[in-house]
Amino acid sequence: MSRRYDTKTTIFSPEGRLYQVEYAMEAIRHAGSAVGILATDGVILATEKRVVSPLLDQSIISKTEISNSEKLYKIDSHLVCAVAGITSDANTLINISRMTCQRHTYTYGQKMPIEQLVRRVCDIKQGYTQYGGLRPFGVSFLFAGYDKDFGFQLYLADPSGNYSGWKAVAIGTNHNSATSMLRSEFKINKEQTGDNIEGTKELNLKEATKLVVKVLAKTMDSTSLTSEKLEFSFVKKVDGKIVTEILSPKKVDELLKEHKDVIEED
Amino acid sequence: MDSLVGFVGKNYVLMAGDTNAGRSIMRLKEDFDKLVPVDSHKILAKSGEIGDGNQFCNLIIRNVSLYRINNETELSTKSVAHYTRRQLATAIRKNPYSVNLLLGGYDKKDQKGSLYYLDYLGSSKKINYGAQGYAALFVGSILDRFWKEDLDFEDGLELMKKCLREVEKRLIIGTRCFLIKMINSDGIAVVEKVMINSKKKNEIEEEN
Repeated sequence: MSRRYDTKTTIFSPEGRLYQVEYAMEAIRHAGSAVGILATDGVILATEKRVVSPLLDQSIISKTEISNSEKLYKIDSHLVCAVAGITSDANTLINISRMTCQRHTYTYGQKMPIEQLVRRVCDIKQGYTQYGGLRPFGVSFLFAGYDKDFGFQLYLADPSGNYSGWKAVAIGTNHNSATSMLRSEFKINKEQTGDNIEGTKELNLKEATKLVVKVLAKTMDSTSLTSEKLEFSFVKKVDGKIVTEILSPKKVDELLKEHKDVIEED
Repeated sequence: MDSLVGFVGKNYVLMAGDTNAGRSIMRLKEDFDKLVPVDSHKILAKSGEIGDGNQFCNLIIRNVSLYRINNETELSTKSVAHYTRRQLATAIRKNPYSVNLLLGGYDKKDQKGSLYYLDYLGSSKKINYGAQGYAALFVGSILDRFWKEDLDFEDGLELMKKCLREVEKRLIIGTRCFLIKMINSDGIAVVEKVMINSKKKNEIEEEN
């Protein structure tokens, strides 16, 4: 019965749903996972690579400093994003994001505030759910960055064109178990806060990294965590300047070795 | 004929402009305010063609307002200067605006005042003190000599009056009346409306 309302994005179903948009979100549920945590002094994004093959030519990484990341992209010097879903769809939106950031700097002489960029990308995504007769983008983004007005921020933008800011978020495969792990770590009981409300913990970047590794270790399918399967990226302040870094495989291995105890907790 | 003067002091920016509006040899209006507020903490002082000044400043003010409403955050003085310069630079080879501006603003985030010199060709420069119009010929040397960093408000006002006195004395075209405005953490305030007559013994009269 719902078949009649599947094919075009620009049609509501009798129950008031947009099936194409929902199917796009379903595509992301099967994609490689991505986790993001907002710490007091930075933001960390971690992703699980899908294409892992010894036949992949990784030689560019050793020859140059160019990051060869599958799911993490730098949008501007103060903004990084993680991708979950159809990579080619993501590439288009990443190009648009980069242009938008530079256009903003061209006009206003300042770095683009994060939420404005996220809103712009989401407005484009929303357009593809309402008019044009084209299918929606099958990508969710985790945007992590810093701006002067609101400090460090983490946003999730989904194919419907909705976005929200998060303290910790997981998307892709096993995101439910990852989310429940994050939630239990972040929650402070009513007794601990003193007030009658549940609070959330404030982690620093080191603690956040540890938590991300722990969550990935528990939710990933593969047995061992190496730089072959994982990618990490940070947004943090170094000597008063904002630094965005997508870690090279060597640094990822170092990081995983540092948090080895958390991985082997099982 | 327009005279605009501005300089940065200790946590404030002081700006003054003459209040004459004229057309060739005729004085049309003697109470013309050339220091328009861009938002609560920024002033655009305009000089040049009156129509272009109105049109251009309106454009800037409305766009700055739109940005604030869309993004729930205010632009810094530096960004407004950058944006204004961009508009002037794209216009110069298409439909030039004959306006020269002084943009003064106070940024709460940095707790500092700043002043920018912008002209119709698309120049933009952050300055500590400066002037537009004929005043620039006389006021430049006075400010070179007497401006210091972090001047108190009283000293700043004295210095401003010194500048305006010189403008009135030396310009053949009578610019007697000036409006002095200040921007600080509380916003924009009209300091004084002065009328200078160098021939009279009591040179400067305050006009309320």
